[in-house]
Amino acid sequence: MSARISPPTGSARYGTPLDRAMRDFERAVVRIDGVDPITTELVRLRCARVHDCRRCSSMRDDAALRSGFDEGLGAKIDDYERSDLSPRHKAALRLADAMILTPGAIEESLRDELREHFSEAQVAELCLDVVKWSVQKALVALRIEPPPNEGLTRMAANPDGSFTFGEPLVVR
Amino acid sequence: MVPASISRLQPEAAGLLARAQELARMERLALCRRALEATLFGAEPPTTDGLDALTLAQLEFAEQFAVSVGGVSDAQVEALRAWLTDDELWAFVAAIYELDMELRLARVAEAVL
Repeated sequence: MSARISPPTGSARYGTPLDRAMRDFERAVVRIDGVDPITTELVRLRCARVHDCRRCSSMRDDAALRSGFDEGLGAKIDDYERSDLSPRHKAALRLADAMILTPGAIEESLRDELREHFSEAQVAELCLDVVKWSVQKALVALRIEPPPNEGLTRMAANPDGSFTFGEPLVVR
Repeated sequence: MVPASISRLQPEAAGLLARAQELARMERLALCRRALEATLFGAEPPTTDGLDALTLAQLEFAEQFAVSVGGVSDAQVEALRAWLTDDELWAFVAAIYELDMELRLARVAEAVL
């Protein structure tokens, strides 16, 4: 599918005041580290798949990989309700789905379920993660998201919240 | 507006998000907000009687944006491009993203925090 307008080239997309403000917000969210990297990666990939962002789906977070994330875990995201993912990971994915799929029909039990596994600050962090990892909605709508690399690519967060994209991953 | 619970728990990121939301505010988006609320929460949709072609195209795009961005069609984008430059189109879509996520975050934060 071809881009519907000229794709952006800078770190702040087209460099508008809103683009720069969003870049600052996104980096601030990445710098929050109250939730473990594997849970954050599961939520990020859930957003990527629901929003049809092929680029995001082709990336793997370096911190999550170093913490034990593998493709077996990632393969369980699409049908996570019927998977053997942990109750903690399922709770995080249900929160992501409440944000991106069913904000008008949130299960009353979700609050208590989340609090079994996460602090209030962690729940707030996960909510902001979903906002951050849904920013590709604007890009996908105009098909100006960066093209995916062939296979999977490692990405690593820098101290300022930006990402460095590294070498292709060999999936074992 | 960023929910107070989110601002209390994650003040730095919440402050930056509030700044972005403020930049995204556009007068024309009042109707789009109502269209998003109708799509997301089943609220009363805005009446479309007498609206101009650009506003109708914006409302249709906003509804599709809320349902599935993967389903945004070339025709829906072309309907906007008939009236907007590329810069204006990007400004509109970026603002719709802000509005869409503002509504979702408010509802979810109220339910879980």
